[in-house]
Amino acid sequence: MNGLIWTPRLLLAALSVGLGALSLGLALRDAAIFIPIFIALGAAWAYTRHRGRHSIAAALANLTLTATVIGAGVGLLIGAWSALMLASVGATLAAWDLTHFERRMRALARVERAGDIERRHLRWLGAATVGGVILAGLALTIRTTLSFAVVFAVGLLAALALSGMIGALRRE
Amino acid sequence: MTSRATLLSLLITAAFLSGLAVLNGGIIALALPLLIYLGLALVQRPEGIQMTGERSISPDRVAVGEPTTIRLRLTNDGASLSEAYIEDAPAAGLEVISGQTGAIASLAPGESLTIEYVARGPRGVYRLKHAHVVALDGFGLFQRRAAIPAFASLLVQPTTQRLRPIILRPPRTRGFAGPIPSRQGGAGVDFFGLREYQAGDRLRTVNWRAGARYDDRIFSNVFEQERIADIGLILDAREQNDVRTARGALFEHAVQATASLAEAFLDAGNRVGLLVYGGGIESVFPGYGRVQRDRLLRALARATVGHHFIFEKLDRLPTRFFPAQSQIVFVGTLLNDDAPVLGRLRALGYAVLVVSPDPIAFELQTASAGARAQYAIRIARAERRLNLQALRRHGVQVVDWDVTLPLDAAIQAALARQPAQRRTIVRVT
Repeated sequence: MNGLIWTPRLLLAALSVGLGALSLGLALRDAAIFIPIFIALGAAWAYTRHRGRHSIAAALANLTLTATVIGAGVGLLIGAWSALMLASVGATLAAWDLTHFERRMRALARVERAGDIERRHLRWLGAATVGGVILAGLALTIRTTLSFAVVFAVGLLAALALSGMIGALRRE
Repeated sequence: MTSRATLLSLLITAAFLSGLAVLNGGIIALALPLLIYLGLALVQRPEGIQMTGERSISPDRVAVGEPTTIRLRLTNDGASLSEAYIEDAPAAGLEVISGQTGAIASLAPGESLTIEYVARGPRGVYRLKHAHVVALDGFGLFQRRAAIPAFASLLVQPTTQRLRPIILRPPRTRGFAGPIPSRQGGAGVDFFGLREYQAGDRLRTVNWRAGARYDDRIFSNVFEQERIADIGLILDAREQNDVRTARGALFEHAVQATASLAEAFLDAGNRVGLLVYGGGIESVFPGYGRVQRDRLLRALARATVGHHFIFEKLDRLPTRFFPAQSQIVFVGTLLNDDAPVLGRLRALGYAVLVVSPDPIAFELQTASAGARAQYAIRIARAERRLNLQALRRHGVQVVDWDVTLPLDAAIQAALARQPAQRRTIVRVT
């Protein structure tokens, strides 16, 4: 396992939570027709990973993450519980990241201090997913009324920031 | 930026636009975990790779099939690298038999990583130049690549066979004592001739029987001086002369024979040079001793078959490379046009020895000879026999070598059969 202890366990847990939350949210809004698609994708992902076909598992992870984001969006449109949808996206994102991390760690036979690399990765991943889900949750719960000028200013700031970031990345 | 980063960017954009299109803030909020993830990856992205590499190969000179240990040490001189993929690139042809050529590591500033593996390879000179490093952010979304210079070279030299002393009689020898009869009278072992007694001759050299025929004269025995000689090795590397089968290339046997001959001649104290004649001309100027042995083996390790229309025939041999009246040893299979050229060398005053690996016997090791093929084999054998006879008529010594047999036995058998060389220069001092 290249010295990875927590990654395989957390991966399966995150995958189960992500797809379970999505399925539950859709099922509660009478949209269970989509659930077999997500279950099949998740099962294929877990199976190929278990069989050591990591490149196929990584491709299925990409597909499942895309499907989950679309499914969560559809769920929000039909009135599904937004907390479940957010948890689904956050957990699937974590599972997707861990699948690719595990694949990278298997690319070479020798990993120096694998435990340290794994712990650091999990810390950053935890910060990203938990922070992202909390922020999104706040965005969904906090309701404020802004004037058009403020909205325009915030939008302009966001556009400028995005443009600056793209420019910096291109320069690199 | 990797394909995963692109996928994330597309999902974020799609969620944002979809949310705007259907006027649903929840869908835009779905993009936030992805956006935070992408942002953290951007924060961690590697600034650059500043590393220094040192490589050592021990031993850096091995024979074919012998293992050598390659050690690569990389030191991170720049910022911390959270995930670095380090892969050494062994030169093409080298086979790694143990150890790992790559590693994944997290390198703090000033920290080093050592990669060590054991490899072996076929004959050749291998130059190991770079180690490849890929640095990733913690999430693997952004990467930087660099080739870190770490130069070292490995010489896999041809295997050699130990040869017994080879009897050569070049027309001219050099001034130092050695194993080759010099056709000159003086101190030696073998009887060379008689001359009239001179004051100072030792009594034990006086030939009393010859003196008994005369009343007033006595004679002294003169012995043949033994000296070292200039020997020029020519390795035929023309592509059209090579034969390749499932068991390998006949050229490899020619290289081994040349290396064995070079060692034998140098061990006897001779001055040996080398000319590799094929796709071009590579030469090692004649020299003595251990340094010259290294030069010759290095040149032989590099030797490959090649084709050049100028060097398709042997008539472009640069004869001025070899000292006049020296010994030339040609190693290679023979084409029909080669015998006259080698005969011309003989006419120019060189002593010529041809060691010719038998291509027919070599090819028959793997090819199944049917009834029809038997005719072809007979014709090929007859043609080769004629070529070798033509060489012998020119006064060239020929060793027809079946490569399944030891070279030493072939040389001793062939040279023992050779008629005694005429003494073209007889000088009694």
